[in-house]
Amino acid sequence: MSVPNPSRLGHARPRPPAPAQHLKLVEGRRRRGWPVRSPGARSLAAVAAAVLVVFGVVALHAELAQRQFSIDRLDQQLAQQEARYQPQRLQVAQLGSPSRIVSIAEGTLGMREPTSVTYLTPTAASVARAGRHAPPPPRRPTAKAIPAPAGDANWPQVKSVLAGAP
Amino acid sequence: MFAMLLTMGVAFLLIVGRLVFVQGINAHRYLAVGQSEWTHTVTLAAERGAILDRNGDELAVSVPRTTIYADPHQVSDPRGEATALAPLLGVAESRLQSELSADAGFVYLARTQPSSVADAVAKLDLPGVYSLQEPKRFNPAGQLALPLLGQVGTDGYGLSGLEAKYNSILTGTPGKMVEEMDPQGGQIPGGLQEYQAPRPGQDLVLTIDEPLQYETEQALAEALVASRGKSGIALLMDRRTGDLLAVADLTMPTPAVPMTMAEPPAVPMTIPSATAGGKPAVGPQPVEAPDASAFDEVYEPGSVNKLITISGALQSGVIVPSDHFVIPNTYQVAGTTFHDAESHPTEFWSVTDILANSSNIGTIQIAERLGKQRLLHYLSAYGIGHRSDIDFPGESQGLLPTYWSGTTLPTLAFGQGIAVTAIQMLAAYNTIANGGVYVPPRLVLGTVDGRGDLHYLPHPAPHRVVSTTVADQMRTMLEQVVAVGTGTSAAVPPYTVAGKTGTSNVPKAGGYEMGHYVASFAGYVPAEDPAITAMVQIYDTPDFGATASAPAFATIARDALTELKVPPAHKLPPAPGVPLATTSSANPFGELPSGPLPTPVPSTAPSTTAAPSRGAPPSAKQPSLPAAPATTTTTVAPRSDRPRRH
Repeated sequence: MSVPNPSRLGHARPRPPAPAQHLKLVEGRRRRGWPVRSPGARSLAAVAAAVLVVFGVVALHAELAQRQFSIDRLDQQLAQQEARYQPQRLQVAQLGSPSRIVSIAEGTLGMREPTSVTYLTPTAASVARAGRHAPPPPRRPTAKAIPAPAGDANWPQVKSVLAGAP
Repeated sequence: MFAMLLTMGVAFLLIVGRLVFVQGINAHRYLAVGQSEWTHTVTLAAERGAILDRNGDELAVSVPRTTIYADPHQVSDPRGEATALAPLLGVAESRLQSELSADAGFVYLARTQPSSVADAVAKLDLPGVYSLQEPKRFNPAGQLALPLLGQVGTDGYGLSGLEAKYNSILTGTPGKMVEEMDPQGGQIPGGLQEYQAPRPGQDLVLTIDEPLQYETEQALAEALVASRGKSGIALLMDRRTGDLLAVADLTMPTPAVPMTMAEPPAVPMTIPSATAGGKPAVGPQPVEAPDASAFDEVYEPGSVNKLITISGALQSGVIVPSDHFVIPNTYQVAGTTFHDAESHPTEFWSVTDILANSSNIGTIQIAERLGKQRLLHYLSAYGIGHRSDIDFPGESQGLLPTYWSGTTLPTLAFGQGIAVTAIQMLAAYNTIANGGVYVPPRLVLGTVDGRGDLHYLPHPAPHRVVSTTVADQMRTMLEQVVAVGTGTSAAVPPYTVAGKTGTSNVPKAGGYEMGHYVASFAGYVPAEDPAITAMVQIYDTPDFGATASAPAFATIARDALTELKVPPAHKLPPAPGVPLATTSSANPFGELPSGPLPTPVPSTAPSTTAAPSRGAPPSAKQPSLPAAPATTTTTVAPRSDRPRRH
């Protein structure tokens, strides 16, 4: 459609221009996650974020400090327990010292060393009898031969049922 | 304008130069200075390892204690603080006041105090008074085995004995902690922290058996008192392994011999002496010797040395056990007269008789067949003249003659003119007990690391000295010594004991102390299958080996056999070809020394060997040996070693 020529209309009221046919009104789209478009809101958000970060760091340090105090407390407890253990270890050793035991045995309990010692030695016959009638030793799959106590040459004869077992 | 620019340029260059100097060249120094301002380094003391016996019982252990110290610069009222501290610390008020007024930044007030004292001091909250942790060494069994264990200084450093020898193993590695501190002295959380954990020292495990050590010391103490000896040594060894189960070194206290420990023993040894009133009275008590005499001190062994002469002669084939010798009452060698313990008519003795009766003349004749070189060879093979593999601090290697006169061989044969340590003689008898194989003595089993794992220390290999045949022959002879000879007091029925008595004179400058003897007994039991070898030596006693030492051997052996649960063994027949003793001329008192030895005759002959031992005073220079005079009886100069401390 042709545009009217104002010079041919003379004093006629101008008509509003007709909208371009190729344009139409469309609703504006919201940008995801960024509802605020104004510069002031952005600044506010940045400050809030900064404050959060700072608070986070502070909280982290506070947590660190708390943990440090816990560690210090545990270290102190450890040192205290170690300080308790060593004297008690000494006390146990002192309580078990031979001189103390003998002193109590003789002084308090009235015990005395025997003046003579009698050794019972089994006869060869009784040893042989014990060996013949001895029950078979229990089966121990993982048992290994235990060497006789030092100086006890008669171990296999006297205690044949126990030979090879603890 | 130019001048201004020049001035500015120079100034700028100076500044840049200074910057380079500070930031570049000396950066480390300034960083260190800065760090020292805000960091605090704490040295974390390492725990000293314990010394344990073979059963794991503590013989020496360190316990954390508190040391009280002060910074006098911060003390505002020295007198008042001294008054408050004196009753708590047990230190004189005047001394404390002096310390607190000193012009110093650090003074010790009391070291290694128990926690009760530390807590009481802390409650006072005195300005300038602080505390720190310091360990203190304790011996839970009192003086037991103290010469062996040694002592530790206040700073935790081993000063003597095993504490000194194994100091590097027992001392741990200190750690450190570096932390950032605020101006108030509090640690900055999250600040610089460097932590290096201390490594505790390793524990030392000995071969010593604590109960046997106690029993041995008690038996030795009784023997010392009964024999009126000045000092004594008793050793107990596991025959097979060479492990020393007990090493006892005791001495009677004298003003010259200080007590070895400041603290009294937990339970003193009480040896009651019978009185006329019937009530036992406690006389002077033996105390632990100042050092480990079993290793450090030498003595002339006397007749116990005949084991080496006779076994060497048997091994060399110069004699057989059935050989008989004519034994006169006196015997001349190089113009010097030798005799046996007591007068006797001319006898016709076998080798067994010679040993059973401890005949010097018979032994001299055997040594003459053996000869000097072979005798020296066997002395060395048995370990005489060498330090043991234990290598105890201050251990002596003994003394052998390097200058030989006509009388050196005979005196050496019966154990005079030579100086040995007790451990050497014990190892020699253990060689026969082991069928002729020398088993090196061992004192330290190993170490225990932080994880509790035991690491055995290497043990040198044994070596053969004489054949099993010769060892068996010696067994028979030594059994006869105890059965019918001079060593009957060492019998431990129903066990069979094989051993030998020994009695020698105590040397003095220029001669010997008459009536003063070194009495010893060495042996093993059961003779058929020995479990233990032991020896007892009493120094400077009027008694002889048979009465002073042999009974103590019997007591120690019985205690050990009971503790180790060793049953009596079936008696073995005598070794083939070895006759039993046919005569026993030993008097009821046992063996006697061979009387006054020849006195020195001034001569130009060079003096005998002995390099004076370490620590011997100049006056102990060895006199010369006499040149062989024609017929007169003379005394052989003593080849004395470092004098015993009495």
